[in-house]
Amino acid sequence: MTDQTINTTAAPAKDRKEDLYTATPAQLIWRRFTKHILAVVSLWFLVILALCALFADMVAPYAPFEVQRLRTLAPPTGIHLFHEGRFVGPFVYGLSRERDAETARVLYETDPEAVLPIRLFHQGDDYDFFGLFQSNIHLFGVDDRRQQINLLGTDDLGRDIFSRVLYSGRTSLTVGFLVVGVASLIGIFLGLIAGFFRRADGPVSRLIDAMMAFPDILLAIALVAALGPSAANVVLALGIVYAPRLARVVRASTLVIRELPYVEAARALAVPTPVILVRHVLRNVTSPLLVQATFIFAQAILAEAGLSFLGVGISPDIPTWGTMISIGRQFMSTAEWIMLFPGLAIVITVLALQLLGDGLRDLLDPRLAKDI
Amino acid sequence: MIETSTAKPQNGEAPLVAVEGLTKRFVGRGGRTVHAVEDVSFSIRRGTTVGLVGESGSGKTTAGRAILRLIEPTSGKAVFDGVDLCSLSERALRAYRQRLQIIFQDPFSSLNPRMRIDAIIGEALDARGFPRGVKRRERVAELLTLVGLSPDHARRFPHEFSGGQRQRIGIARALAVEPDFVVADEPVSALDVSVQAQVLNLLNDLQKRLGLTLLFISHDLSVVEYLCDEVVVMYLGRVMERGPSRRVYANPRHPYTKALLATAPVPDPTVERNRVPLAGDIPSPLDPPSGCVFRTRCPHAIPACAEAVPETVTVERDHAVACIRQDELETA
Ligand SMILES: Nc1ncnc2c1ncn2[C@@H]1O[C@H](COP(=O)(O)OP(=O)(O)O)[C@@H](O)[C@H]1O
Ligand code: SF4
Ligand SMILES: [Mg+2]
Repeated sequence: MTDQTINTTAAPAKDRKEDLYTATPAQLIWRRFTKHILAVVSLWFLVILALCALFADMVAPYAPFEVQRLRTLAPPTGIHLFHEGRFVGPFVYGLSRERDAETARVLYETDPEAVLPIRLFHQGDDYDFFGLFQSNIHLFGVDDRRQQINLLGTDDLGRDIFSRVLYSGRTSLTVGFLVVGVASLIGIFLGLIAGFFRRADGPVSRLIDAMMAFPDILLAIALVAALGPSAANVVLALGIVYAPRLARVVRASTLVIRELPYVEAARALAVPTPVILVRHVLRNVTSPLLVQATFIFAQAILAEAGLSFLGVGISPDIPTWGTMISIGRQFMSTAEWIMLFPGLAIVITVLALQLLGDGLRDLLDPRLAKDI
Repeated sequence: MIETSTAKPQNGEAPLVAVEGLTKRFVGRGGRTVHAVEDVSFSIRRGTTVGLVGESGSGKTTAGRAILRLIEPTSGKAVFDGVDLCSLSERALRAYRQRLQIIFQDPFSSLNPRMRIDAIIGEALDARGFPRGVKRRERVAELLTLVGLSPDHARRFPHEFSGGQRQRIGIARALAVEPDFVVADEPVSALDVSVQAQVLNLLNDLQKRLGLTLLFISHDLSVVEYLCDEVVVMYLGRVMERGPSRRVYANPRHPYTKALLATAPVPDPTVERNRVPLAGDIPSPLDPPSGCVFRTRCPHAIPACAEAVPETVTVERDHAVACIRQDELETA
């Protein structure tokens, strides 16, 4: 298998290669180890994140739209274990509310008397899990009905940021996933056509280059403007924006694979061209494709947030990390947590995807693997 | 304009494959023409093996691929069983595909690394509409046994095999469609010397047992001598000499053939061959010499050699040479 896997990491590979040649064995081992560790940690993080997003109804203590008029702009709370020097298990302090007479701003004080133990598998609000079943069991919660557990604070409507970050993650990850899907469909198709059929290569490659000449976000905005703002159109627009990158990867590999004897053997057997494209070409492009798809996933999450932030993304009523940041911008100086946590969610997720993609690239590249 | 072979009377004398004036020119970098194969003609009788020899870059592979129409020839004919393959439409050609097969030089890139052996051979069985199911598994096992592998190997991937074993799998794939004509493009040159003989013997054995018609491409004259009934010597895209192996080896008429035989290692040290070393490199096919393409390296070249491409003249039955001085050199 190692003989055929095509390396398509063009420019960055060169610099890395040079690094690799000048590195000492110890550096190489350290490099491999850290890369490996980071990729594995990233993978686990992403798996857990995806599970939390999928089961957001359960993991989140509150519904994403649950407005609490008496608990707006509440700050994040820490989880404590000891109360007055005694171990009582994980709990949070309740908040007491006061209004500043001069500025009319609501101020929160932690109430040192109100110990709210965190209950696991707590019975809270009812929810409907994708219409599959109904339940009111949440992963955690507090018993006191007049108090709340807002680990990451609340926004201007008193909605729980932690819950919203999870629900938003569901949207953002879904958008990322769908964008990768759309980009793959278009990109694989264009890449195979351009790489396999000489006559199509010129026009298709020019189209790819033209599309890549535009900055991602600008092209996405233009496409959304043309298609009309809706969730489906955002996915479609971003899919179109990122398709050329996949097309390039596929084309580059296809150009090499097309000349290999096993493709010729298939032609000598009169295997239909579409079958050759899928069975012999596409199947041998999966490694670079997977790496590129990981990067595009990360880019798509960023781009979706950017679009939402600019107000041309998915409807502002659907919580995504981007819309959350956009809301939080108005409270940047007074309640920075509204913007901070969705921002962190984006940064960490994108970073994890990039690290995973990097690790995969090393893992799936037989030449680098041999060098290291 | 589709002719079928059955429409023609089967004449025992008619060659199965007749290549006539086959030419393939590639458009190279900067729009320059690569003269890979120029005006190549020879024929192969049913059930015999013809060797195509020449140095690397002389156009052997290109000729083999063009005959099977795996690449489009620029001009010329490749008549197979009475039908010119070059005149067939892509669709009409499909009907002929399973009668024509090829074995590749590189055992590493000739098998899809993502496919198991049974899938690789199964693809060939699909090509001839072999039914799926138990029968197919038996047929795969049979083919693996035929090429000296174990039926247990069917579920493995190509990377689990050595070069020699992979070449056997390639042979099994080619034979799965029960072809009439097989092009073997340097099937052993990429293999360890220790396994070359085994694969050659296998090919030879299968050719005899199955009555295959074989075009055996090689740069190694001694291998061709061992395997082939007839030999075609190519240089820079053109045929220099062709004829029955024994006659060509015993009495080479073309200066190039003589030089090749002289530089080839002699298996029998008691045989003393005239040592005429082949000086210099093969010229670029982008800009082949005028007249006789061999003249830049020919020890007997005279100004007249640059004038026109030498005619291919038959010197004895089936033995033809393309050299204007072959007569005088023979008598000299
Ligand atoms: N696809 C191609 N495009 C351009 N030139 C080619 C191509 N295939 C082969 N050639 C050229 O044609 C010449 C003959 O090559 P080839 O048939 O592979 O020779 P051989 O098999 O005898 O070594 C070489 O100079 C080679 O560079
Ligand atoms: S034609 Fe002239 S150059 Fe060519 S082989 Fe004969 S003698 Fe040599
Ligand atoms: Mg060759």
